[in-house]
Amino acid sequence: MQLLGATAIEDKLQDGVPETIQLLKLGNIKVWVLTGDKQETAMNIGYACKLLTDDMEILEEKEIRGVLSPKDKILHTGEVLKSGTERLGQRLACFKATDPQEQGSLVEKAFVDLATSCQAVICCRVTPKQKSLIVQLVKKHKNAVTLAIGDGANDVNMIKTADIGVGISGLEGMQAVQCSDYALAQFRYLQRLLLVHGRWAYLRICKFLRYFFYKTFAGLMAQVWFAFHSGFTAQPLYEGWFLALYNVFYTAYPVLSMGLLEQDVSAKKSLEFPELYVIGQRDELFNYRIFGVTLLHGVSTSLASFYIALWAFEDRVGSKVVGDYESFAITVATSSFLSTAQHICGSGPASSQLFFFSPLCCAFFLLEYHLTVTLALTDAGKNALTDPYVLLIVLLSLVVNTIPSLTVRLYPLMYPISLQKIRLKTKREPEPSVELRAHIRRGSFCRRSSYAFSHHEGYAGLITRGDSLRAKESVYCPVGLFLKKHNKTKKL
Amino acid sequence: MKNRKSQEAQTLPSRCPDNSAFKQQKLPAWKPKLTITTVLSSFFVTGVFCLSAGVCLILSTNSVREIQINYSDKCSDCSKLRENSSNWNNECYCSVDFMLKEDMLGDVFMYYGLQNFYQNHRRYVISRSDAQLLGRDVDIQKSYCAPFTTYQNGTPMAPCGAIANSIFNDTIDLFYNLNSSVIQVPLLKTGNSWWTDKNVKFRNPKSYNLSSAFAGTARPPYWQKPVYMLDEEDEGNNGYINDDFLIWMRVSAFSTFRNLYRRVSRTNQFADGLPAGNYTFHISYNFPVSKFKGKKHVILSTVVWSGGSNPFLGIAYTVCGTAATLTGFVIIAIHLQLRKKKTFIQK
Repeated sequence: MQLLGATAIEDKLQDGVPETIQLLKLGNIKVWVLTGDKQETAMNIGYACKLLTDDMEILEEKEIRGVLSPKDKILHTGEVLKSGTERLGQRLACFKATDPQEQGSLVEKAFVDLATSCQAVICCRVTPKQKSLIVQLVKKHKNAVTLAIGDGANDVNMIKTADIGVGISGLEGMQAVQCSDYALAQFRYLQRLLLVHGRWAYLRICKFLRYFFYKTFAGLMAQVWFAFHSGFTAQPLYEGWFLALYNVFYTAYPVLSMGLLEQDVSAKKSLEFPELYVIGQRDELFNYRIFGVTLLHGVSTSLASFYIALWAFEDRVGSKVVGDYESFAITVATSSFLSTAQHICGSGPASSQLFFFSPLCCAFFLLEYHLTVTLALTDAGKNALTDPYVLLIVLLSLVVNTIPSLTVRLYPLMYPISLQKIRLKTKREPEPSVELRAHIRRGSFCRRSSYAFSHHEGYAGLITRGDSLRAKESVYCPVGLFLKKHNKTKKL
Repeated sequence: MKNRKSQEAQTLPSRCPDNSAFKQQKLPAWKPKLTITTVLSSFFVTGVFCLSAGVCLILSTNSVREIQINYSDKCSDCSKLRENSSNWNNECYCSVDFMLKEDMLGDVFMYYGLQNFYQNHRRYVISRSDAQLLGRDVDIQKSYCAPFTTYQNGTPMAPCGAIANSIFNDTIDLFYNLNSSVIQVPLLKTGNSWWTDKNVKFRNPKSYNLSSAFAGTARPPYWQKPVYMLDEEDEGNNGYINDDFLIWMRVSAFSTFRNLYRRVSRTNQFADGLPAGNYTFHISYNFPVSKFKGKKHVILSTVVWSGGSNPFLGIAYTVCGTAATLTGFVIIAIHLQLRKKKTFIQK
């Protein structure tokens, strides 16, 4: 026979996929591949995008069945797995997806435990419905947030099931994009989506919440303390317009700018240190403890502002300001507002100086202006705020509210353990790099290509053994034999 | 493949956001860098400033001379008389003697103080008609003055509301006992209220004379005189713009408060203030406080730039200053110790 040629269809990986997957893995994000391709193709793709490496142990279908199917050993399975991972460190499961549907929920849990204890999971021959079922499985048994990213119509189900669905727009059409929460143009933009914008969004929301609660407590709890002194008759301490505009105008700008523009590290650094992503996974920026601390801080600020003014005003004998209701209200309002504003602007966002100073200035101007315009408080504002005694009261409240938080913030300065320094230290250490070993080993090049063969291994073994050839002359020549021979001589 | 993609991108309208600093989130940022030196210096600066301010305040407070006399306890028969409201027409006078050990030099202010009188009660604070007090002809039924709006025969009250109704109506006179003669201390009853209260916020209704301006209205139930007879000698202190009335209408924030009543006029032998000696208050006791367990005081005090005799702020500033300075020293000590540890480890 004469070889005329060979055809091959290339489904090339996009640019930047291996690097993206590396970064995601460093950010403690487990990556699973659900594909409709056959097992060989899927494994080759896994090697190509560096999801799998040569030193990983691969658990194939039979091994997994063996681990999962004896039903009386299901509870032991979890412990075996845990000890197993400590021993070997790296495993991979490649599993035919028909199984999770058929087994009970205990086996499902065992499967999910096994899969999440592995470094990577590839599911092959998965139908679209099974993709969404796998996502549901993970959501049900693991308290984790799932993200599904795909580019074809067969990914629509899993994109819709996952907590976050990302669609890649491209040559396969727009179905994935249309049903997704986020649409990207290429897979490698996922690293920016998660590690830069996702991380920043988490940081901004948490900081915004913290400061929103703080300013509400610090500014307005004074009315609660005033109730103790007004016979609990619900007489408001602050004037009506101040109350109405406090959240809408006076404190809106600093807190909003924090929620919109805050960045703790730049985008470049976020991509360099994907370990920073773990902070969000562990709920470190807003949890019950932080809320409690914020509550306490706000309450103590309001207590300080109110009681310093109260004790200074008590029975106060003065020529300008007397202990009247409006002057007292203005004093407490000014001191609590300034303390809150100082805390937010000074210790909050890394905004530009423009944002830093302007909200204070215009808030203050408006405070004064509207107070003089409102008939109810005619002249009380100007009178109170030009009296040196009142200004000293406001200054003292400011000092008392600032010094403790400044002291607390000094603590990390004295024990400087910044996240960056830790990451730099770990980066400098020679990691057991998988890549290094792979380069040294030879003879495994053929496995690291993303090329797969559309035929199974042929009957070359039978032929070379000579059993069937001796029986009769045959024109049949398995094509696979030739391709395989060529393959061994080529270097891919 | 790539070329085709970029060509497609060029032909299709680009949805790329602008390359402005705001949209690319690359705004110029400035974060206050907290180094040890800046924080420590701020601690010390704050400490020194607070200490000096505290010392100044304490010194000025100590220079204030004040004397406070509780006369509702001393005038017990008058207060018992006033417990029964049918005695409202009976006059009751009370004398309280006291002695000034030192001269009160400078401007001396006389205040009346009330205790346990909640002028900051919600319904009390709201019970006034600012429009009526501006001299306008308004329907006071629409205001919050209820129940002090009109009498049963329909006559409106001027001024309406609970604040005006409960005005402090004791009359206090001060007498100086010099040897055997008794001299009345001259007191100023105007110039005690805020300028804006007198000229902007309160205006009398316009007419050819004040009593006709208030025609058709009646005095509030607890008042003995109608509003246009509050001070018949001085037209600028009569009607709604009476100083005592203005001061009372500026409600206090607390249940224990004092309001300016009179100022000592610096004439004759009181040109430098009040000399030391024996004094007597002659009080026409009208305001009943015993029913709600309140107390009445009369206070004589001088005034300094930082207010009066309340020592709290001075003490608070001093405490704050010492705390800040001590914290600064403690931080320095910890920092030096840590630096020693670090160099030791590095070696």
